[in-house]
Amino acid sequence: MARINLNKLDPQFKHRVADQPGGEGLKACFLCKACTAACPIQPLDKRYDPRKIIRMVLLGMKDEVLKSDFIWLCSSCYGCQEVCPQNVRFTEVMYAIKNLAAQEACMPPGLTAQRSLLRKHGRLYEVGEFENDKRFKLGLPPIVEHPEDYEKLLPDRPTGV
Amino acid sequence: MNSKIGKNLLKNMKKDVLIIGGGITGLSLCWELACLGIESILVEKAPYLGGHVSQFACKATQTCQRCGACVLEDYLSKLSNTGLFELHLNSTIGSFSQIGKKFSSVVSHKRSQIINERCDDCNLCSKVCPVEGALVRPSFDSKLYISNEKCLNSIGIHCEACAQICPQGAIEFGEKTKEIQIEASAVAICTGFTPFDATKKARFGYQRIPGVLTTLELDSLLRTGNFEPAAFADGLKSVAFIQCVGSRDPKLGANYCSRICCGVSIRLARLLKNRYPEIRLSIFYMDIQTFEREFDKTLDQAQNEITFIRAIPSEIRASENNRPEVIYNGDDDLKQITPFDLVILSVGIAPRDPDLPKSFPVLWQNRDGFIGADENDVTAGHPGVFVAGAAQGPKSIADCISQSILAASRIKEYLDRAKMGEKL
Ligand SMILES: Cc1cc2nc3c(=O)[nH]c(=O)nc-3n(C[C@H](O)[C@H](O)[C@H](O)COP(=O)(O)OP(=O)(O)OC[C@H]3O[C@@H](n4cnc5c(N)ncnc54)[C@H](O)[C@@H]3O)c2cc1C
Ligand code: SF4
Ligand code: SF4
Repeated sequence: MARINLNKLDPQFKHRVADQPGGEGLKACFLCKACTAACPIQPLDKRYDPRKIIRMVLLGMKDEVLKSDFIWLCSSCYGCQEVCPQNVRFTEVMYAIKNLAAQEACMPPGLTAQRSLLRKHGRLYEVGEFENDKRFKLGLPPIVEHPEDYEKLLPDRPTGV
Repeated sequence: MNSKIGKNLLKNMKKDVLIIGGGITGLSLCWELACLGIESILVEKAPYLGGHVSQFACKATQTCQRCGACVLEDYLSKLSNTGLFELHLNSTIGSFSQIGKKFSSVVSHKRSQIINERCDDCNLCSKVCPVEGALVRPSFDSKLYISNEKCLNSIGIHCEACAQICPQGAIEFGEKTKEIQIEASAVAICTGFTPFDATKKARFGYQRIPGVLTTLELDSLLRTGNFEPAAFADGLKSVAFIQCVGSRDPKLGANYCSRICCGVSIRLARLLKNRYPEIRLSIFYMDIQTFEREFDKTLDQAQNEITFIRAIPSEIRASENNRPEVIYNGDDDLKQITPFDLVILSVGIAPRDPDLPKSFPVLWQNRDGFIGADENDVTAGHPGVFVAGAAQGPKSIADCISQSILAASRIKEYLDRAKMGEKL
């Protein structure tokens, strides 16, 4: 088991996560493990364990959480949220963690690429001549891309770990 | 209401204290008051005394496990020798009013329908009764009673199946409700709790999967001698207890620890191990709460006999051969799907609607939904009205009794001040 270096822990980290929309329930966790038992990802990759992620956040293991690649494994199935007696709403906590990770520029390359697509085209799939030709033949109006809003929402900051 | 009172009114009684509820709390309070020379009237809805405790089995293995269930018998025999209280079984509070510092109330008294003296305990009535639980035997050596809450006649459906079969003619119907006008200077609410309804925790399969029971049901089966390991096709080899069902669960409205369930499960598990040493026992928990005296000793002994698994299961489902399977994340971080012959849900203590008339003073409701203050206090929120026991919050038998002692002294203080004419 890896050692935890107390000097590197960030005592503010749990508050930052709990202050995010959806992160509020974090501190109510009893560590009862019901979520882990319900999670379909945990049996596939032991590093992704809802209860352990909560423990890591509570301990202040900011870098280990935000810079990890496993936080992106959540399938958003809400299984954990369903069984949690404490109303921690772990799927929402995961979104809060991922939002913080994105703010700290810790995103996996796949998501970084998706972000650039959104910024450039205002959608995840570029609409080109091919699509609009087809629409024209079907009597549909062409689609015009409006990336302006996304440019405002996703400022051009360096992304990727 | 008033004209009815006039017709059936039997007597007018004056006592110092009206105790509502004859569970262990009501009984111990009655005793403590009697010791202080205070007269009380005890009103119990059921046809028998003791409340929930009357359903509990003795959990002694080679040694006493200090569950407290036998304390009930002590109080019943102590009380039978004191003349300082009047008991009304099968009774509820019909109406309620207050003039100055005096409370006056009408107690409606439904006549118990099995005449104890005639009944020779042949049990034929239980066999023909169409409603489960309408004929009750509150303790192993007790007589049968008709539960006025469950009997079809009490909900307006005509049925005389039991009266027709009884060879002794011991069952009587059609008896009118009697009403008694009483006056008291103080009221004590000892209406107890209701066990958490395990069907609300739908993922645990209660009443859906065979072999999933509650601790209360297991206790009852053990007490009545109806627990039969032989009834299992391949014998009874494994039993799991799941803790905190309806406790520490804000999602289900129970954001508190019920305080008794850890002890209850451990004692039941040890009793099973003692009687059937071949059974494999597991307890699933999040953390063990030890409120009882010398609980560490019990826990130490238990650890040799029971596997403690620190995990709350996500689900209990039915296996292919219709046995309960517990899904949890084990100590080694592996997801486990383990079949058990029996899964016992350790149900918590939930607030119970005290079922008091509308004219009753409005009482405090505490943080957890019980009656009275948040702290372990007996004030109910209206001068002269007190609360004790599980009606005030989750408690063990011992805690109920100690709160009764507190209530008795507070009531005495109140009565003394009232007598001196002090402003309250
Ligand atoms: C599964 C389980 C196992 C337990 N095992 C143990 C154990 O081993 N040891 C231990 O110390 N504790 C145990 N407890 C806790 C114990 O049951 C309670 O501490 C105790 O029963 C509380 O007593 P009470 O008199 O306050 O309430 P109750 O036992 O609920 O009694 C209340 C009484 O009031 C009557 N009543 C209610 N409303 C009215 C009304 N309006 N008018 C007239 N009468 C009314 C009811 O009929 C009842 O008789 C257990 C609890 C559970 C759920
Ligand atoms: S189920 Fe809820 S309380 Fe239990 S460990 Fe998971 S998040 Fe915490
Ligand atoms: S939402 Fe994510 S963390 Fe929760 S059970 Fe599903 S995959 Fe696991």
